[in-house]
Amino acid sequence: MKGKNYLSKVVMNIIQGCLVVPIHGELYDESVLQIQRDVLEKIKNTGIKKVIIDLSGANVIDSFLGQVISDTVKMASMLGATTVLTGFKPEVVVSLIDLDFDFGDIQTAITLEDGFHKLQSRLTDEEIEDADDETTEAIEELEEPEEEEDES
Amino acid sequence: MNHNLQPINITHEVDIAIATSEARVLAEAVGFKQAEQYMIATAVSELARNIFHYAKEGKITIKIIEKGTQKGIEIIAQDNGPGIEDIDKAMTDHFSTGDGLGSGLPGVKRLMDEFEISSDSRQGTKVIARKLL
Repeated sequence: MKGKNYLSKVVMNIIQGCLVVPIHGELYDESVLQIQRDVLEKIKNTGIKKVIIDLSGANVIDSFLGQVISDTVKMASMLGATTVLTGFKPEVVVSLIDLDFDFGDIQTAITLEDGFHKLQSRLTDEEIEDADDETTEAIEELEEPEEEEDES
Repeated sequence: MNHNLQPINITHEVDIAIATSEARVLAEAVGFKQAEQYMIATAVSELARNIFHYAKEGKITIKIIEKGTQKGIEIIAQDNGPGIEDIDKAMTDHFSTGDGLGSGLPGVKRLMDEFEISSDSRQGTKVIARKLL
C-alpha cells in the first residue's frame, strides 16, 4: 500500500485494568483496521475484560470510521470484553446523527474519567455470579438468625 | 481576496484527510460555527472517501459562494469512476454495495443545505453540496 509512512501507531495502555485506546488525528482505512486488529489481539493475549476507546482526539468521524469502531465494540464483546466509547464532542454527535449512524446500545461516556467509572461500576459476568453467590449466602445468613430470634 | 482552493486530487488515502482539513479551514474563514465547520468537514470526508473507495480517483473542489447576501461553502466532488447505477437506491439510508460500506450520500445531504447529484457510466459521478451561513 502506498504511503505507509503516514500510518500512526496507536499506543494502547492498560490502566486500572482497562485497555485504553486513544484515537487521534487523521485516520486512514488501514490504520483504523490496524487499531481494530490490535485491540482484538490485546484482548485475546491479556484476557482483559474492559476497554475504553477514546475518540476525543479524532479529527473527523465519518461513517466509515464510525462503522469500524462499532464493529470493534461488537467483536470485543464476542471476546468477552465490555467497551465504553469516550470523548464524543457535541458536533461529532450531531454529525453522526445526520449520517444516520446508530451506535445502538454501545456504552458511551463524555470523559475518559467517566468511562473508567462506568466500567469500574459495571461488574463482569464472573463478578456478578460471585456477587450472586455472596448475596445468596448473605440472605441465608440473614434468614437463619431471624428464625432463631423468632424461636426465642 | 480569494479563499477558494484549487481542486484537490483524491488519489491516495491521505488526500481524504487533506480535503477534510482544508474544508474546515475554509468553513472557519467564511464564519461557520464550530459545529457547522465539523459538519462540512464530515461531508467532505464522506465524499472524498467515496471517491477513494468506489472511483479510485477524482477531485474535490471547495469554494466560498455568495447567494445574495448569504455566504456559504460549496463542495464539488467529481470522479470518472463507474458511476452510480441507481441513484435513488444510493440515496437510501443503509444502502450498501456489499462490502459493508454505505455510500454515505444521504448523510452528506443532511449535513449540508443543498445537494445535487448526477451520475452516468461514461462521465462518472458529480456531487454538488452547499451549506449557507
